[in-house]
Amino acid sequence: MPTLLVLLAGAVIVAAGIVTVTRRNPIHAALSMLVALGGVALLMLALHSTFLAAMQVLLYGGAIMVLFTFVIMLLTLREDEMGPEPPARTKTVAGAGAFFVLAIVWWAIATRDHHDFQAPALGGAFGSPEHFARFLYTDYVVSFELVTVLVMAAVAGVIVLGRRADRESLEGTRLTQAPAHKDPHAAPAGRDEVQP
Amino acid sequence: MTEITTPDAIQLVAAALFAVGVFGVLSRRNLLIVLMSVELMLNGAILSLVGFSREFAHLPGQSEAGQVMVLMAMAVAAAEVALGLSIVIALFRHIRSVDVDAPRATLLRS
Repeated sequence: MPTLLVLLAGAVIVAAGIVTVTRRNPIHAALSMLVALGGVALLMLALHSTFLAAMQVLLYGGAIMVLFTFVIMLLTLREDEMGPEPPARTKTVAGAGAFFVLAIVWWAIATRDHHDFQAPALGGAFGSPEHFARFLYTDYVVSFELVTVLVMAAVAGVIVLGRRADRESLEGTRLTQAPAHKDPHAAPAGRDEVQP
Repeated sequence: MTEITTPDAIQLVAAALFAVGVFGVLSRRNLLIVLMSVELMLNGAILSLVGFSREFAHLPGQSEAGQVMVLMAMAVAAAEVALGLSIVIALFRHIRSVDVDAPRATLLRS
């Protein structure tokens, strides 16, 4: 892929990212983030990472963005619930910090060793699902299994966080020693009522 | 100015995306947008790894190690978003706001 096209796609990605971090309306931010994620998937395709490009679209563009839009619509934030705009001084400091990060990384890129770079000739297998899977399930099978532990921990954490803090939400579960004098039919009522 | 090569262009785009995410995390007060900025930073790191994976694909024993790392990073990102958004919902239930600087949000910091 010519360098110019990479830079063009990069400009679209960065522009969408800037829109994401500057919009007040969260749904606008989420949609422009989708554009940025799609651009990253395009660059992955250009880099012969076909499987990862598919994963980027499915996992980021599908699962994660759906999660974001779901939560945005679940909360339906009013203007006062999002907090005021940060003062200009905060934005200046944040911009300086971001520029600092970019400058450091760019310095590292510009001064690294290029002497042996030639666009390596690749077999057609590089990045293909078959090739990738053989690599993943042989050399990296331990880390792959550890990811399942991570996901299990995340599921447990989400369940704990999603629970209501009051005792009534534990009613009828094994987590609580239910007091015998309480009416078991009274507990469910009012649990799901919408707060004002 | 010397001519910019394609791997360097990829790394530049990745660094710029990461920097945009840093700006979002530092400047915004809406917790949802802060989470999205973290996702942008992760995407910058992922793009950098994919670029290096392509660049050093010809070295022996190096094929696709970067891509495997990216897949792990995606799994971590998915778990992180699920946990982060449930923290957002739990916080919103308590203080009716997603402002990270809201007076009652400081209970997260102690």
